[in-house]
Amino acid sequence: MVSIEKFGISFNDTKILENISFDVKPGEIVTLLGSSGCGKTTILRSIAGLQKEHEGTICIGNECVSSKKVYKKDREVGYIFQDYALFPHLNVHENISFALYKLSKKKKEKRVDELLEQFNIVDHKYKQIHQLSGGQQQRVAIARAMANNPKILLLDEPFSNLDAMLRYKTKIWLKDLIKQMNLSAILVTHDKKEALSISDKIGIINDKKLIQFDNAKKMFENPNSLYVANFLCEVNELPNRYIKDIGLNIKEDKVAIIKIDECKISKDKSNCKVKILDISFCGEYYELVLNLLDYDNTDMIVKSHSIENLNINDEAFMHIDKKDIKIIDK
Amino acid sequence: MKNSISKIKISSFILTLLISAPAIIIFLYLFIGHSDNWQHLKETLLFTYIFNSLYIMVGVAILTTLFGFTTAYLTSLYNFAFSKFFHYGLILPFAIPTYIVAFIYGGMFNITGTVTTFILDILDKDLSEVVFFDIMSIEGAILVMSLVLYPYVYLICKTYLSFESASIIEAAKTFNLSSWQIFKKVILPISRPAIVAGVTLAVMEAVADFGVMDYFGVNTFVTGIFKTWFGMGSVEDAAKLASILMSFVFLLIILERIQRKNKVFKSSGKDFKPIEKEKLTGIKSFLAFIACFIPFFFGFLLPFIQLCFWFSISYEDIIDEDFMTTLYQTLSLAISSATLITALALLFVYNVRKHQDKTSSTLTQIVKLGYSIPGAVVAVGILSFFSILDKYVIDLFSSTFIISGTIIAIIFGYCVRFLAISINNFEAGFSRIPQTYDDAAKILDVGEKTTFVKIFIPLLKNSAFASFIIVFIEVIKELPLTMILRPFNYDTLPILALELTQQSQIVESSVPSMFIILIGMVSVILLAKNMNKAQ
Repeated sequence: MVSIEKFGISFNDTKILENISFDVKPGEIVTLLGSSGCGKTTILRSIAGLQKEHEGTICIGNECVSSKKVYKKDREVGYIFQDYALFPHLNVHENISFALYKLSKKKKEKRVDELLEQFNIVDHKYKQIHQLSGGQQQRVAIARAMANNPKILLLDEPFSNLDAMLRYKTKIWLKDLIKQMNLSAILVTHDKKEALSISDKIGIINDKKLIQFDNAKKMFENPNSLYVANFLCEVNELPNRYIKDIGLNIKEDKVAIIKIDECKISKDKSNCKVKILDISFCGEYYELVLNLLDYDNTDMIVKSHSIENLNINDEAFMHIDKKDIKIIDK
Repeated sequence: MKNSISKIKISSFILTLLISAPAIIIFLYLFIGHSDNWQHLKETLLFTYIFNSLYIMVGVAILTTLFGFTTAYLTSLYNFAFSKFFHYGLILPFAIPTYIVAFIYGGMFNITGTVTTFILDILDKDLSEVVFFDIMSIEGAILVMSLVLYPYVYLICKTYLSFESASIIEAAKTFNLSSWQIFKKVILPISRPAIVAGVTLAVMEAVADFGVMDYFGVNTFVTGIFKTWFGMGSVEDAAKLASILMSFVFLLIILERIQRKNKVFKSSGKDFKPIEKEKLTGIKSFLAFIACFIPFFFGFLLPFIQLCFWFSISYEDIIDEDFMTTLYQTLSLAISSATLITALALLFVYNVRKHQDKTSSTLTQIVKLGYSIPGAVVAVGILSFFSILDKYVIDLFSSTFIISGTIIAIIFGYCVRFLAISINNFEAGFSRIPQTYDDAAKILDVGEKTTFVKIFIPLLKNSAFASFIIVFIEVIKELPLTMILRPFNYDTLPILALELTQQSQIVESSVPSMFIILIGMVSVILLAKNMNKAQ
């Protein structure tokens, strides 16, 4: 189990992260989600011991470490880098055995063969790295990371170099592997779809802080702030006056949101008149840009599967089911 | 980040102190006392040194711009007769050291030169009856230097025009401007920083030159340093002259950096694509060919043909046991220096990679400054530095061992001068190794030594080879530093070539010169092969 307590880090006196706390149980996949440069990878690097100076404690199993020089030997961590960090001058076998250099030759060979078998790359044993596909390279990187039987697996944007189909397959394979081996896995990404589909829990980082850490489904359904809502799903912010007009109460520090696919537009009358500013065909759906005419000309985006009788510059009406509206912190 | 003081960092620090010591000593000479001769030197020759150096700088700047920029412009933007050949052919003057071209031109065009007498015979006239341009003059030196050094301007401008400026030039073409208008209004202004960068390198080389100026009898700071040191035996005055020259060079570097900082015109695109070339036909193609052929012919072909001819008629007289000793000395000096410099450069660059802090990169930057200091200045700095060291050793340990005038002094001089080349190679090599390799090794709990041996060394072997070869070539060609620091009677090929010309044996001097060029060419071929293999 990994436990991060009050973790913080600064670079050149600039605070990057502060007061980050979360746990990852064995067999659990936690994804850290946030915009580029928010400090997600820095957390992974600190857990791995690559970033030595930080605040707070990182506990791996029963051992807690603060800012001191402890690498994998004490931490039992496997790390999959975004670029896989496979050494180009070594073949598959040599890349994996690089991690096992302390073992005797016989033991090393045995362990490499086990890993090649386990990760289904036996046929590529003596191939050079550039001769492998993206997916095969990733398997080699994972085999190397797993060589010393780590309890924790850290994955930095592991699917970013794979095409769509391979990404899908690898995700399932990796999820199974983590569960089978009962690893505590922490994954870093900025892709919300990837995060939602693979994670048991998600942590969202914004403005140096972990602003929500929860079960993936719960978080999607109940985001605790406008940032999380915007990050995980596409939402519209509803004007406070509209909320009051439909009989709901809202405080000054709150905001009412609705997912863009939960708004319906038609010529049937309602209390919310809109003007259609633009209609874009997006393949499986249409995206409509609207202006709420009676509510300070607020702009909204709506996703709709049909646009029957609707044209650009038409006036129409928006229909919202009250139960779909969520009131959250600003 | 906390700085851990490691052995490698301490070594880099001590080495930086050692390598920068000669330059620091020379710099101090700007402020400290001088001998009685200095006043005389100041009143008689100092003005000549300054005037000549400035005159050479201006002359070389104008001519290298003319040759280098014109050829870069033509070969980057147009296809014409032999334009593909000129793409590489125009770099060939780099293959012959400036002093060798000077010896050859001297032998061909001086009053009794082969070409001069040949033309006078044809015309059936005396020298007094014709207009004669004396090559053995400051103007001759400027011309020869420019013919050999224009590739600096050519290479930098060509890279800029062919790639970085492609989108700007193509945009200008869409406004229906004529070629001349595009040249005047777009190409010339945007190329200015590239021209200045190339010209600065050429000018720095020209003011630091010894061989050409000495042979042509032009008084410059460098020849002045030699005269004061060998003629008057005054290290102090030589050092004082060296300090002025060093200030001159640093001022030049600072000016170039300022202009580069303020006036870099870059294409807004991230990925540079090569420019689409226009095809020239008829007279335009012929004129473009002539414009490129002139610098190629006079900068490489003519001196090379003459050299080959002289070599063919004199090699039997020159290649003897003494010559082989000189060749052996040159090669062993180059091999040992290149090996040492490559190893030291690796230490400096690995220190930066390992610690990734300001101190380590500053140490490397300081060491790299040595390349811009003229060889003669470095040599005088080393003489001054070692005379202090020798005195200390003799006083303290009553030892009779002195470093001045030994091979150690020369190799130390090469380290000061050429470490920058080697460091640049390793920096480029390390920049191609992602930081994640270091991280992966750390996480896998692989020690630094194993990572260094198993990961960095194999991945850097091409950089190490390139570094070795380039330093090797530089050492083979080096003249002023070796002249000043060499042990008594210790000759290298360039020194032998110079000595033969000083004894009016111009034809015979072609033998060591040819060997210098051939060794350089073989090395470049090896380097190119290695680069192809690496790719």
